[in-house]
Formats: sequence, structure tokens, C-alpha cells
Amino acid sequence: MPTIVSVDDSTVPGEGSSRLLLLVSSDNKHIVVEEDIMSRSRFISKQVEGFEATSQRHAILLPFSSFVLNKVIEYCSHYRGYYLLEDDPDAAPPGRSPVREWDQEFLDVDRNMLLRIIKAAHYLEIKSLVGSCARAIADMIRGKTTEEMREILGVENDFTPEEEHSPSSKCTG
Amino acid sequence: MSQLSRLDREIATAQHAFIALCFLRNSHTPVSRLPSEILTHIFSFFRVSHLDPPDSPCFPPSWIAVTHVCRRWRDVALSSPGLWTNIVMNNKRWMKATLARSRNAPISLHLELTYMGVRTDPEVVWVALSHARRVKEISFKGSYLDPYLRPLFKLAAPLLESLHLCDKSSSFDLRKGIFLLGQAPKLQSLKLEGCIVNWNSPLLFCPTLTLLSISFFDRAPQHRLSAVGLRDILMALPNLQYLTLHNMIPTPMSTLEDPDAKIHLQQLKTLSLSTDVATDIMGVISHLLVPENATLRVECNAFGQGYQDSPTSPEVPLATTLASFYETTSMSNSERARTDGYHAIGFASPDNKYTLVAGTCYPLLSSEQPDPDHPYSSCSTLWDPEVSLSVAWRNWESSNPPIQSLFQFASAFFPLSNVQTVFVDCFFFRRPEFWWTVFGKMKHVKRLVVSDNLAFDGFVRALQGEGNTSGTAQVTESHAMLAQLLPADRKGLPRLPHLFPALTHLTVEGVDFERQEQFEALLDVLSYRCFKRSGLKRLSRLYLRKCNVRHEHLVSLAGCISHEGVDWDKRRRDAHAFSKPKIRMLDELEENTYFFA
Repeated sequence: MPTIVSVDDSTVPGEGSSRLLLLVSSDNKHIVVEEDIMSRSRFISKQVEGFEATSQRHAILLPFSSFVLNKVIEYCSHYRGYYLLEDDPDAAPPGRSPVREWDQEFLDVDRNMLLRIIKAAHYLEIKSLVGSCARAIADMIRGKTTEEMREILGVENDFTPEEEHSPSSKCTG
Repeated sequence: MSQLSRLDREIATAQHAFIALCFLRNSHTPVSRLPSEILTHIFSFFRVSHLDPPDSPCFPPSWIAVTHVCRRWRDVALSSPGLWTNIVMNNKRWMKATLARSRNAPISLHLELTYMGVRTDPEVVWVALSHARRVKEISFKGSYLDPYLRPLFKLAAPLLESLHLCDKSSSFDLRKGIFLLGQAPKLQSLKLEGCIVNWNSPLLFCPTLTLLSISFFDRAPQHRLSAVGLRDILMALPNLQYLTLHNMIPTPMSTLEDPDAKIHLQQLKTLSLSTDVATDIMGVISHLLVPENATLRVECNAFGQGYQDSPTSPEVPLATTLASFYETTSMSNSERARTDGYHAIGFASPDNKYTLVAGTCYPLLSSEQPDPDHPYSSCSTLWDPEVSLSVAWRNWESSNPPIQSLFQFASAFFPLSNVQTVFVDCFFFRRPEFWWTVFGKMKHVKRLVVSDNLAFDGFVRALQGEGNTSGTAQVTESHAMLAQLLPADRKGLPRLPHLFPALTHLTVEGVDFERQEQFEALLDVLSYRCFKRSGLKRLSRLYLRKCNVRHEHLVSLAGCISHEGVDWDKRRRDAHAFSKPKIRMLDELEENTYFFA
């Protein structure tokens, strides 16, 4: 859970059309962002609702680095004001619809960064970003052999010979 | 001996220690530290986006390769019921495994009886059907379905959303009882092919239906629905969006008490009718009121004699009727003639307001030039500068296609020369001459989608100039080099005829570029098409879809266009998939969406 700390008004610069939020990354970088931008995050929205019960302004401490946080903010800024079906709580499970072109370019990052972004998106409850990242990871391993998948993902074969040849294994391929 | 046993034990211990270390190492990798929900999400995408079609009878499906990656992935996959809801019944062990793993999640049941000729034991299917209370989707295809589906006369399916039954033997009789006890309150899609329908079944009157499709493979007058029956069914379906009646046009609508009665289908998006007799189609559509942007698809086969009680006439002004109905024109069976080929062309505008021309050719092509007094000439046609054209060659075995005549006929009504987007499918083994015949006059095509390995050779040779009867010159690498040396206006060089001279975006689907000669042919074409002074529009984008291609090939292609100009979806196919001719049955065409893909 993030730590919520009280901050002075002076910590938060200027008033815009939207209220401002202070997000603090795990590397202790303070990032001010309009509430509107982050409204795609159900986690942030719930936090803000909590703030409204008190008159104080707050900062939200997040368990990932500023680099990752900035990427998430970039995503949220791009889709600011847009309705994305995947963010709808009643949305259908993943389908065959293609990845949005912008998302494809946005997620053209290395494997570890992609995994960090998806974890952050999951933490912040941004379903559309989780979906896009998941699709990108699925695309990364699509059409590959098991060995190739392991190589791409950096994991080792940790099955015992019995597990590899058990009946249940045969039922998984 | 004891020494050997001791060493074996030590090897085993070391192996276990090694595996334990691998497991420990994996637990520290970023991918293993993803929460299980995220991994499930990734697997879901991997499953739906994999090469297997959604109703593939393959088992085990290829997506489960993810369960072989590591222990954590297998554990997560096996404990995610949502991943195992696609129950394929062709393999008993696999079916039982997926039923167990899906736990209580809503399931989809698929049975493909014709697959590899293996007959499935009905009792195996009954095991799956006993889960009817959590079934969301049923899709059974094959011959003699009766023994398999018998339990469904005794079970309700409260979660069922989609029911698709296709009995190629036309023997499954739904009148034997009340199918699903008439209890499928969530049913949205009902598709019955070759089934003897109980026209009073509550399933047909389910107000949640958005898709209703009833097709017979042959005419079946004894199962024919009455006009009153059709009216009552349609009036009970306020949410209907897709209505298909193939070889199942009801008794003449004139038998309705009120011959002017109209049935208002407010939500309808697509109406698809096919029968032998045009007047039957006219009878139905003249009683329907549908939204202006609905798509109308009519096929009048002219193979048979029609129903005995249908009025027939040698000349039916179907097109005029349709034109006044929705700016749509169609071909009718103006003359009854034997046909051995089935050809169709379709036209679509960018706003999805389609005009479709479909039908058999011979009756229509009997006159060499369209007669200005012919009823079709009064049809209002849909014209849009961005018109696109979809061409499917259905009868690929036909050796003497009259498609040229068909196009000549169609071009009297549609400005084919202005077509800018073309989708080509089923041009298996078509020679370059054929490509020129069909597309030679379409000088403004910018976007072209070509499908299938078996069509590629003819296509690429046509692009190279082969088969053009109006000019003998061929576009070769030497031409490209010569053009490079000449000034831009290319004085003195005879202008070469080119197929698709305005082409800027090319999509190639399902081609094996690991065959060196195919790759080299493509490279040859690109090296010319992407050349600035070739006198052609410069090809700027190449999309490779479901193609096998090597990395070094992509580099070569990118060298021709530009790095950004090549887009490969990285979807590969098994090599054997390219060697089998893709023959599809006519009744599969609906699903494969040949026309407006």
C-alpha cells in the first residue's frame, strides 16, 4: 500500500482547470500531475475520493521508479478524455481486436521495461494499459517454441523429468 | 555395481538440486514476479491471438505451449478456469481435462465431426452436455448429429448465448421434442444449418436474439415455414441485427391476411436471402422495413425449379425492386440456365453502405452488351470515389471462367476503373493473364490485399508484366536499370504497361517467403516498384500477414522500401499449411467473410 503523506500547499504548483496531484516515485522523485490525466487509474481515483473526506492535500507514494511512472503518465496524458472500452468495468474479455497503433509504438521498449510498465499499470488499476502490455508480451512469444520463449523471458526449465512426462503434462501438450 | 548405484543416486540428487536452483532463479526473474492475474491476462491474449481459429478442432491447442515454459506459468495457467472454457470434444482425455480445469466457468462446446474422419463416441459428448447449465456457446458441425444432441432435449441452458448446429446430412430433427426445454433466456445467436426446424420452438421467439440464421443445403418444402410463421417470429425479435434465410424462403407472402403488412426490423444490420426464385425474395423484402444503412445480400441461384407454389416467370425484375428498396442492385435468374461456375463481385463504400452484386453468370451474360432498356439499367448505383472492390473466385477448379464477361457486364453500371481498394481471395493457380483480365483496366488502385500462397505466383508474374495481351514488354530488373539511366520523363523508352500502376500499399497474406523463389520474385517486384523513376506510383508500404519470412529477408525488403515501410505481423504458419490447396465448401463462405473482409 502507498504511504499517504500530507504536503503543504506550496509543494503543489499553480492551479489549472483540473486539480493537481503529487505523485512520489520509489526513487523519491516528486511528480505533479493533473487529476484529470490520472483519472484513468482506478487506484488514484479511489485515493482522491479518500482525500475529499479531508480538506488536506496529499501526496501519493508509489512503489515504482519515476522512469516507469513517467511512462504511465505519458500513456494517461495521451488518452486524456478518451473513452477506452477496456477501462469499462463491464468490458468483455480480451478479443482479437488489433493493438492500437500508438500503443504499439509506446510499448516498443525492452522486455524488462515492458514488465515494469505492466506491473505499474496493474497496481494503478489501468485496465487498458494492462491489456495493451499483456498483448505486447503475448505477441513477443507468439509463434515461438518453448525453448525460444524461455530465452526471450529469461527463465530456465525448472520441471523435473517426472513433471515433464506426467499425464497432466501430456494434457497440457 | 554398488558404485554405479551410488553414482546414479548422486546424479539424481544433483539433478534435483539443479532443478531446485532453476526454480529459485526463476522466482527472481522479472517475468516470474508478475502477479498471477497479469500472467492469466497474458495467457488469455496469447490464446485468442494464436494461430488456431476459435473453433479449431485441434487438440491440444497450440497456445498451451505457455504451460511448458516453467513451473510457475504452468501452475498459473492450470489454476485459471477462464483459460480452459473452450471444450473440444474430439478427444476424450483432453475434453475431460478441460472440463475439470474450467471448474464452474461458463464453457463453449465445440464438435467437428468431419475432422480427420474420426467419429466421436456420443457418450463422450454427453459427458460435456451434462454441463449444459454452464454452457455459453454450442457449436456442432458434421453429419448425423442426432445421437450426439439427444440429451439437449432434456436439459435447459440458462447461460447459453450462442447455438450453432450444422448437420450436413440434413437429418437432425428438432421437432422430436422441445430442444433445451425451450429454456435459453440469454440466447443471442441462433444458427441452424441443415436442421429440420420446429417452427414453434421457443428458441426462435427468444427476444434477446440478435442473429437468426436458418439455412438448408437443399430445398426442403416439407419443412418450409409459412409466411405467417415468419411474420410472427420476426415480430417477436425486436433486437434482431442479422437475419439469414438460405434456401428457406417461406411460402409466398401474399398468403398473409394483409398483403400490405410490414414487419419493422429496427435494429437490422444485415439481411441475407438466397433461394432459387427471385419472386420469393421479392415477396419477403417487400414486407420488411429495415434501417437505411442495412446491408442487403441476395443470392438467386437459378439452379432449381423453385417451390411448386411459387410463381415463376422467365423475366423477373428483381433488380428494379431491390434498387427501389435500398439503392441495391442484384442479378436475377432472368433465364434459367445450367451453370458450372459461381462468381460473385461485391462493392463497398467507406461508410459501410454496401452495394452487392451477386449471382450466377450465364443467365446474365447471355447478351453481349447490356441493353439500356434492361431493368438493371434503371437501378441507382452507389458511386463513391473511394469505392472498394472485393473479388473472390469461388469455383477455383473451373478452367474456363467467364469472369471477363461478368466484369464487362458489371462495369456498365459501376465505374470499375476508379476502384481504389481491392481485396483478392481464392485466386488459386490463376495465371497472369487472368489477373490482367480482371484488373487490367483498374488504373487507380492504391491499396491491394492479396491472399494465399497458391495465388502468389500468378500475381507476382502479372505484376512483372507477364500475361498482358495489350503489350508484350515485361518489367524486369534490366528495365529498372535502364530507367535509372534515363531522364525522368523517360523519352525514347516505350511506356510499359503495368498492372496496378497507382499501387502504394500492398498487403500479402498467407505466403511462404521461406521459399527462396517466392521471396526473390517479391524482391524483384519491390526493387522496381519502389524505384522513383519507374513511371509508377512508388510503393510505400508492404504488409506481410501470416507469412513465413526470415529476418534477413525483412532486411532486404526494408532496403527496398524503407525500414518503416515493411510491416510483418510475425504470425508464422506451419510449412505444410502452404502446400495444401485451400478448398472451402460453399456453406463455409458465410463464416469466412469473403466479400467485405
